[in-house]
Amino acid sequence: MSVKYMTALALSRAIRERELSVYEALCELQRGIERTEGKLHAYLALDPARAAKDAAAVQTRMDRGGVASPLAGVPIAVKDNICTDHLKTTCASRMLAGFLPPYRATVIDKLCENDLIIHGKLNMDEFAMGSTTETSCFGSTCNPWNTQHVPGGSSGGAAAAVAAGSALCALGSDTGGSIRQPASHCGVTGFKPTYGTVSRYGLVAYASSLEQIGPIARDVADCAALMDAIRGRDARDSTSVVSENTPYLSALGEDIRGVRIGIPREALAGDISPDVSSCILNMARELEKMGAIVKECNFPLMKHAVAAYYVIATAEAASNLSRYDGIKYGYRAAGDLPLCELYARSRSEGFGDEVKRRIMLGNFVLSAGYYDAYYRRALRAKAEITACFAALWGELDMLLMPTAPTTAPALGVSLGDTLGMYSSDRYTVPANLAGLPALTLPCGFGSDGMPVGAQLIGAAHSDARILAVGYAYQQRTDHHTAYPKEVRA
Amino acid sequence: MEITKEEVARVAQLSRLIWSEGALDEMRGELSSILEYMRTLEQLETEGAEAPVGESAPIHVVRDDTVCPSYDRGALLVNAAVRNEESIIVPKTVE
Repeated sequence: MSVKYMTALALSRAIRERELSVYEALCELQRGIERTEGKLHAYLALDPARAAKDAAAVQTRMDRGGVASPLAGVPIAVKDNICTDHLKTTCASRMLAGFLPPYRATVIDKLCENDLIIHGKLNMDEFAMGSTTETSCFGSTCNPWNTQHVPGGSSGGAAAAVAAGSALCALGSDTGGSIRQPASHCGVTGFKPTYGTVSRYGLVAYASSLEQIGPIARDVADCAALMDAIRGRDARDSTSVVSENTPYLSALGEDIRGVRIGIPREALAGDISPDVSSCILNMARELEKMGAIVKECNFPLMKHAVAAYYVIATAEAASNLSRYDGIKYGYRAAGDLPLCELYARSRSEGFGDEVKRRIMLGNFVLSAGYYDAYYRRALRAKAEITACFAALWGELDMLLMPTAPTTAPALGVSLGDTLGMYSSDRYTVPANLAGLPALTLPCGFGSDGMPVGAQLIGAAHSDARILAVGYAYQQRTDHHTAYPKEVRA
Repeated sequence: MEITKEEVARVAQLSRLIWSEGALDEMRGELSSILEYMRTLEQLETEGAEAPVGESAPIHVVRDDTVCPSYDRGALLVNAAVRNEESIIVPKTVE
């Protein structure tokens, strides 16, 4: 089988069984990238020479035996807000266009420890602020199912590359849906872990209390294997936690009979595409046939999640991005300017419109006279939403709902409607506010031929259970094995 | 909620961002409509404790107080736009 149709686990197995070498797999993948990049623009940087060197080292270790990782030898690409010390980390921003980190993220260390090969950096919305990948200062990524449409965002490069077969798997980051929404729009599987499960050390900060690094891959099994590779407590991230020792991969295949799944009434009401509703209900019926108990439930606070999220996220963004002053690293305005003017000019010329909008909004909600009315109220809403979820777990094991209200929109239509774009995050932001694990997986197609994703959200640290239910669904269905014909590696 | 020209200018100053007169007015309109939307939070009865950072908030990792190797000066300096061999060059702030 060609590498482009393989899952990451299948490729590693094939390498062990000497059907092909690590280097051959890498070369085939790189040829696929050459074929697709002209139409997709999923990548911001590639380093074939370094990847070849790493592939040779991994091959030597595998030949000697004793390599334990089920993903050994697999090439992986990472979103360009995850620090790599051999490739620039730009966050798709003019501000960091030349930034070469002097250190690398903990997840990069872990991928290397597991003998994966990092072969490229992926396009994204600037500083992960956007839902379409159109705010990248290097230009948008296109959706491989229809190149006139966006791939979603902010991890749009990652989702598009995996869907097109120009990446076998990828790491993205999810602050308000940035793994799940693009995975849904591109017909691939994406997972946001419980907050604290994966170290954020080396992830360029946007909204620190909300974001997590997670996998985007062809199926749930690859996501579980990647989670086993990257998770774990890290002394360099004070919010990271000890998670269960049992591999998530070994939980796949568990019986899902009796699992209680709720569908919030609010999720299928209001402004949602009938195609999306229909796909979610079909998935619910399939899960019932498999023995799950599916019932309706209420989540009335869902309507407040977007407002709470954008207050908190922009407040944290305004604080986190205040470090970009043009002095120590990042873009510096030209000319012999006084210090404060240098700061302001560097920031004004280095940041794009959406980033500047969110910094302004964040500073407004934190400013004297407005802090209580916006920021404190949003924190309380966050607490209420977290409590609302907690109450549901008394009767339910997880929730099923759409990942996005529509299929991927056409290029160029979303950025002109800021509030509409923010509002489209309504199904994904609740899990970030409450720090919960959430999986998106393909569950059908819209009448426009574009993929639809369904989301499973569970209680904190129920990551393995959610993955097990997603895996069981994928054993019975073939939505995740569909490939786009328009752009294919 | 309609915010004033003075308020948006003050936020621009806090944000260390420079805007033309027209762009600032446009931003004022955008922020006003977004803030209006965010006022929907007023409908919530949310008197109570402040939100924790996720459900795992109480756990915080504290590093051991041990001496570790520092970063290489050259690797740090390479990212500064204006520098000499051992320092970052900044505008003079004291005459």
